[in-house]
Amino acid sequence: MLREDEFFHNLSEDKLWQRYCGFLDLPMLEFIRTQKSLLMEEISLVGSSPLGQKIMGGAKPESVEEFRRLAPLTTYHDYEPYLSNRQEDALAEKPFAWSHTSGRGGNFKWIPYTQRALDVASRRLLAILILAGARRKGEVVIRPGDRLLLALAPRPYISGTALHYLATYCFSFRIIPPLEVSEQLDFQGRVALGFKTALKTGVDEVSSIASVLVKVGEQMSGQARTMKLSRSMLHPAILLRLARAKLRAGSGPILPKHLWQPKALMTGGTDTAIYKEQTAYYWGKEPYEAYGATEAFPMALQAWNKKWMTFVPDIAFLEFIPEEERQKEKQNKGYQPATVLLNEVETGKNYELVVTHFYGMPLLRYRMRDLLTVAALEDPDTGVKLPQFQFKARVDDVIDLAGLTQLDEKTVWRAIAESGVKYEDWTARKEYDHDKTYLHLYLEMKKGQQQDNLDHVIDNKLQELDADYREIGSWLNLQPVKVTVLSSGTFGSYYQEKQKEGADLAHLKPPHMNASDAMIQRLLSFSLQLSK
Amino acid sequence: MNLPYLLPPLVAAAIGAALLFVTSLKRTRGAAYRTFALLLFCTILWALLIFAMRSSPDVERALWWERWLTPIGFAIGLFYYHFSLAVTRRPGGQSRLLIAGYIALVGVAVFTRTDLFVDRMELQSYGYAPMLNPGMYFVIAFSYLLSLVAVYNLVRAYRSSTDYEERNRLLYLTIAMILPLAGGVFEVLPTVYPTAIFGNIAFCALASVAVLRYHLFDINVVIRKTVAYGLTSVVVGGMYGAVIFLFGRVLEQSTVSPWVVQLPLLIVLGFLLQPIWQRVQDLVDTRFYRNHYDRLQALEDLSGLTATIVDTEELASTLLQRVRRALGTSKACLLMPSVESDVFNQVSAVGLDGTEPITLHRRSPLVVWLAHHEGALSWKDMDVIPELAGVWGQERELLEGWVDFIVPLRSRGNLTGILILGHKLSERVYYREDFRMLQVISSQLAVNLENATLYAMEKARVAQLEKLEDARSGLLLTVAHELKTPITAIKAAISLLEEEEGEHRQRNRVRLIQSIRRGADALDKLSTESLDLARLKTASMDFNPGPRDLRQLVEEAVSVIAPAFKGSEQRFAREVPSPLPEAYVDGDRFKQILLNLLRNANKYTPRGGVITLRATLNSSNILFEVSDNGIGIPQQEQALVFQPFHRVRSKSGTETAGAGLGLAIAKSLVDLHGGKIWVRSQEGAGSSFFFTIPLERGER
Repeated sequence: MLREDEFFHNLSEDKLWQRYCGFLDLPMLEFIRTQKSLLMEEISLVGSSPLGQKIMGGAKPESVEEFRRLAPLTTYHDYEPYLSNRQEDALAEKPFAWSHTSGRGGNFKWIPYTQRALDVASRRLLAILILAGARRKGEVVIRPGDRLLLALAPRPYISGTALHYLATYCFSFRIIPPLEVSEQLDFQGRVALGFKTALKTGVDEVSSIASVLVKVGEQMSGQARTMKLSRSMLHPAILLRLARAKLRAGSGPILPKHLWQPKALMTGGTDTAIYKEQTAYYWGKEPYEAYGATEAFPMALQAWNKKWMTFVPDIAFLEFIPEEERQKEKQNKGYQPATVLLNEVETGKNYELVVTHFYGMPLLRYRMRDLLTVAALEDPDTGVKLPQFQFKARVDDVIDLAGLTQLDEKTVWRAIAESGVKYEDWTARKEYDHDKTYLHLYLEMKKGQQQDNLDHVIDNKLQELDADYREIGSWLNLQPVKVTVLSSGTFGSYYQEKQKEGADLAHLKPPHMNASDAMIQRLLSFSLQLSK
Repeated sequence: MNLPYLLPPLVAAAIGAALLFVTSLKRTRGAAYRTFALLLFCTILWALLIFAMRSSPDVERALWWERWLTPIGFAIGLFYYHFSLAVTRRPGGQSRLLIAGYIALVGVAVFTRTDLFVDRMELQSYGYAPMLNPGMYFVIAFSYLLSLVAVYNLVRAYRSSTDYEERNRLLYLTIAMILPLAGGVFEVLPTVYPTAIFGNIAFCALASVAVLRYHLFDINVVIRKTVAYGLTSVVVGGMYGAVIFLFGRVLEQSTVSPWVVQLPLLIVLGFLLQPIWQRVQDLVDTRFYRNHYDRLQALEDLSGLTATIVDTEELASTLLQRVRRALGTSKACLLMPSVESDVFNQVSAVGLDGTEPITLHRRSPLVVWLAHHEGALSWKDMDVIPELAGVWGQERELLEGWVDFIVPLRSRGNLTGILILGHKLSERVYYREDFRMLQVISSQLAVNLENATLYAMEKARVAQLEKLEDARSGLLLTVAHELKTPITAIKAAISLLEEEEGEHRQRNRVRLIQSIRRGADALDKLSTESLDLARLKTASMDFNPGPRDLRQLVEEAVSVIAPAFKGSEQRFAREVPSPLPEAYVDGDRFKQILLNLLRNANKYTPRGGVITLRATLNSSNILFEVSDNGIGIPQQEQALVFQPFHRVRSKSGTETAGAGLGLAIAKSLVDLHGGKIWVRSQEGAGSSFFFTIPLERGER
């Protein structure tokens, strides 16, 4: 029996909830106390390691306040070349596994994970599954032996690393498709195999990138109302499932929600919020969202009401750079912004997150480059007495127009979606008309779709959605949005080309925000070819 | 009418209905209550159907009723099972079996009117008996399976529970579930009297008591009490019966009515057997409540012992030994805050030989949690309490595997110690009683530990001060000793100068020489006193006590000081009884005490003043008093006059001449003689110094 299985066999439901989700009941004082205590342990662990000494300049802080005063804010660059070369002798503790980021910024960032860190991450992953399935406080619906359909990035991405650790050492999930099989396949193959297997076995929980879930839903809704049966589908369990789904779907197309009724639906990726409603429509269940990154995973979790996110106390020490401090830094590059702790954040304000690892991991006062908004200082619906957050954007994914507004991916996406444009995909970035900035949107319409005056439509919608944006037109004397409609199949061609080049999952598509010149040029070139 | 056959189902139904009513009054919500209520309802229904079947006029009618019994009987097994899941709060576990059970129930209900389960009834000696078909064997097997899994769930929950009341409740429920299973065994044999109805009666009673009163009931106590009183009654009642029987036999042939003899005999026996009854009662109580007595005994011992121990290590060791004995703990250790660093160190341990001493940092989440929460922390809860999720790795490794409970010892809100308890030697879990005892012990021990710690700190401070005092006395001794040689040389030189002056005295030179002599004498006196004081402090003074005539010593001292009184025109009065008894003193030192006090009086008494020396004889000592009508000592200074180098300030604020060593030396010398010294004074009215000298030979 695996470690966490034992708790599920021996603890009552109340105690299980307390073990995994009890952090939601923590008062601020206890939260901060836990954080500070773990930070002091981290300082004692890391203080004598070569990398730790390098970062802290040989200082050995005796208190949290001293640490915040002495240790500088860091970026991945400060840990080079130790981490990129995976130099384990420079670390305080020997890592159990290494994970890397998507490398969207250019290079992979390798992050070592100690076993204790993975143990804690596993507990929090179980918390995610429990909260995703709970309809009320204290309800624990998951149990050992559950079938977990996975459509996430594999090892050495953090989602793959953490889930592999969870399933191998902690909790006996039946992973669909099995990890040893799926890790041999590319992402598409893994997703296809996963859903195919799930047709036979059924699923208890689904953990997937949000866009994949929506894609599956779109494909199924786009299919003919009568489903063609392949030979591989001639299995009694599949036939029974299909028959049941047909009964549920009635005269409409069979959707994922007709085939499966998972207890929990977890989505990952920065676009989770964008696909929330579509996911709920296709899968019949509101997706659960958590916030995490390769550098620290998972950091903030939604409660059972799936509204906002609450930080967990034992993953990393949390500091927040207020917006004003970021502005000061922008004006003066040498300025080191001041940080605040969780008990000092204010409602409605945006903060850049800074984390310090626990459990002997190396990152100290590391800038995550993520912007978070404090939605509320507590959630009266759930009784959580800790600040509630929403992920706003990656710092690098924000498009700043003339310093008047900062558009993030979600806002742009909503503007496109709510304007009724039937699109295939899009990417946006800041461009210049002489000395004036504007948002340039490259959009591929769905096949056969056409719409006039798109610039105006999107501009209107953005004005509705963003109050600051409204002012830009009058200030700049120019329409701040320009839309270039790409030919049908442009994004598909780009995808295929990258796949042929053997690109990694994160590089198959251009990012929605701030794509590089090379990417835009490639898209335009495909568009031109296809238009001929 | 066959009452033994007809009555039990009605009794079962009545008990069931009553309990259902009482249970419903509790107005408890939740799955456990709902399933239990359903279970009771089915039990009542089943009992009523049994009654209907048994009271049927013919076999056809009995068969009609019997067929309704099948789904209800199966539902009882199913609800047993569902109830076990709900009451043990298993998160969705075994739900497939539950679903299968409900599906089977529907199936049984659908086919119950067919011959699938029962096709006929036979009349047996006790009444109607159903002839079972294969379908019924399936129903019985499934129902038993569900009930057995239910029992298994309860037993497992019972074993993993550390909550005393919960364990008690689960024990009741387990027994309650086993009884109908046992009762139902004979249901499949038509030739044997059906006993399931009795099992159900027992279930209703026990289960309801468990649900309604588990907070109040201790089944072990019930069992023990029953056995204890039974045993006492058998022993004493047996003796009583035997005596009555023997008298009965003796009086068999007598013409006297047995009542005439037996009635008084009964009364006499009642008195005679009373002490035996009491003794047997005590013996049985002690035997059956051994653990309880042991605990109380240990608690009592601990209270007495720890209150008198002030040494921290001894206290810690005693505490651990007693706790280990009282609770049957395999390993235990006590941590206390370190004075030097920010940690709690292991001060004592039992059963932890050869392992690394445990140290917990004050900032560790574990210590922080213990400092802010009441009550013992179960190791199992380490994995449950969110604040403890981040317990430091190194600390966890030290405790993992052997610790069952961690008890904070808190006094006045401060964490004064941490008691760590390992598994029980018996490998049983700790009960609520253990916690109650730990709670009582911990609050009391925390106070004792704090006292011991404060005492240890005070002791260390005193030792440090003594060390400093020794060093100071050593320095004084050296300085005084080193001064003595040049002073002796100066005084010798002065004597020579005086001799050389002879008859050719020059006035100026004489004055100068006298001035030098006065200075040298003062310096000599100061160095002598300093030397004495230093010797007294370093216990290196020559002290030769022996039986001495105190009257003579007093006379010698007075003869030395008398010129000074005369010179100061002071009147000296002596009120010393004659003769004074011999006392065990050092003659020179005794005289020194008297002289120091008399010189002091001389110094602080104005011209024309009166100085009195009194001696009073008590049964065990002689009290000397030197009083004067001098300037007196201010109230606030009276406690300081015996301290070295302290000089009393006069009302005008000026200090008197002298080094302020006389009274300090006098005090040390009185102490050396085993006596006491004190002062009474009124500013402006004079002072009285008292000291006692024991008549018996005292301890130095």
